[in-house]
Amino acid sequence: MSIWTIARKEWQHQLNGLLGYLFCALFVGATAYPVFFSQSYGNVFLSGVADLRAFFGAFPFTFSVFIPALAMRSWAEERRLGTVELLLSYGLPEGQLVLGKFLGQYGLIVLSLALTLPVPILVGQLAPLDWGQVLCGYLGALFFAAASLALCQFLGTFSQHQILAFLLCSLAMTVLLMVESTLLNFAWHFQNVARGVLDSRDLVFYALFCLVFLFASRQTLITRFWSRPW
Amino acid sequence: MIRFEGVHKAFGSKKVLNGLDFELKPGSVTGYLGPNGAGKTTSMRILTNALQADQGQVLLDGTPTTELTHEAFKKIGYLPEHTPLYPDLTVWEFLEFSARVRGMSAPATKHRVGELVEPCGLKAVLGQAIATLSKGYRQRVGLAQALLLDPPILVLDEPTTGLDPNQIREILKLIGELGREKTVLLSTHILSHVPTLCDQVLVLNQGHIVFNGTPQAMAERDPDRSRLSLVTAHAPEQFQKLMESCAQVQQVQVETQHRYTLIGSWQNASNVRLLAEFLQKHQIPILELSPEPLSLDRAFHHLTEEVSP
Repeated sequence: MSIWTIARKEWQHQLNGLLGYLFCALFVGATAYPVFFSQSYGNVFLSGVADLRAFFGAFPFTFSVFIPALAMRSWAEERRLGTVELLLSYGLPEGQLVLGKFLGQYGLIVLSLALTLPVPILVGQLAPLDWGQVLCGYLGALFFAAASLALCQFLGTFSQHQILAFLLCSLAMTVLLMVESTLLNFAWHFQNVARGVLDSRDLVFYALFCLVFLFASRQTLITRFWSRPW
Repeated sequence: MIRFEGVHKAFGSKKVLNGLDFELKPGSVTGYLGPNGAGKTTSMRILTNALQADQGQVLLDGTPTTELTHEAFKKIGYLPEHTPLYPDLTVWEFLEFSARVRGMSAPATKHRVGELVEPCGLKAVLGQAIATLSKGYRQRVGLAQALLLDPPILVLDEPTTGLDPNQIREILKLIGELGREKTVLLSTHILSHVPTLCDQVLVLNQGHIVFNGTPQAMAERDPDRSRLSLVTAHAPEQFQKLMESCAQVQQVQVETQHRYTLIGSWQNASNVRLLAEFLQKHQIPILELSPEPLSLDRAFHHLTEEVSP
């Protein structure tokens, strides 16, 4: 009950301002660009092939910018306004606070992904499209986004300054996209799903990553680790 | 009902609470006084679960607050310092969120908010975004939020900060009315309202309770008993000089044409008798000779300038 109330407030918070709409519009633009406007092989008009690898291939880097921008507000804003004190005084289980915030922001990501659906639909009108690949790509994107958001929200608990939170999250996302270890590399795990190959190990990796950082956020709140006046 | 037992809290190397011990009397308004940095806000945050104590515990009906369930926290309504609110929500949206997140059903929320808008004076701004509200209205929204679940305990951290005198009077009147049936812990710097509003006073200094008692008992701690107020029908010229020639008078302050403050060691009754004899000898008619009322301000200053034990 409380989880959904917090999620709804978070959702409302995003759509009350310009940021939510800007987020959706820029996300759709950034992911549609390689398919329709770029001069590379990914442009369906230039290649004449209904292939969405460039579309899904843009997701990791787009998320690495957009998700820190979204998550930077999550806890930093609560701490800056002092409303975190109010939320904690309600005696809600910390896990519910974390999940509520997560679901509220995840909702915006799901909406943004849904708004990109016209891209494959349009491409599908031009030439026959492998819808299995499309489904697989979206599923992978949902998992990828969940793991990234959990990580960024966790990092956001350490700062009451949005810019600092954004920089911290962007740095972490960049490291996870560039790291050589294939086990930890976010982009590597996404390669398969972008190609339409659904490997449960990739999805389990993202799911575990997400759970670990949701739990870590909960622990951060439980310990009130910052222990200084807000 | 609420009991602090040896609560310690430090932020890094800075000790804020040093073994805080006190108990709130049920159904009373307790004035929580202390200079800035004394630890009032920190202790209130510990009481309301926003912070954790390093040592010691706070008990609510005998149960440590760290072990309380979500349900038990519904007994406490909290208005934090600076009234944190979500500026992009309207007053209604904020109150609805605060009620629903604490488990109140939608119809009950609607009913309860309806009950609160009148006494909290929020009717005119219910649909207005919080960002556009004046400080006074923000404070009322914060107070309404604290009252949503009709909790038996209210913790109010400086609810009058930044308000104009009329707003202060209104808020304090509301708190006074609430205090008839609730246990209120009220942090404030406005000492003039303490005698009429509070049944009990706690004075905190450097993380210790340095006074716990009634407002009257606190005023008794005013160390300055050296001032007598004298009103005379007609004082001769050179009156001030004449009075300074009295051995018992250390200083004469002219308040108005016929009112003077005499500073001396008036704790000693014989000095007062000698002064009366002096006035009689010089044929100065006395309309009033009385000790100046005890001052909470001076008592507060005295209590908080001392180094705590």
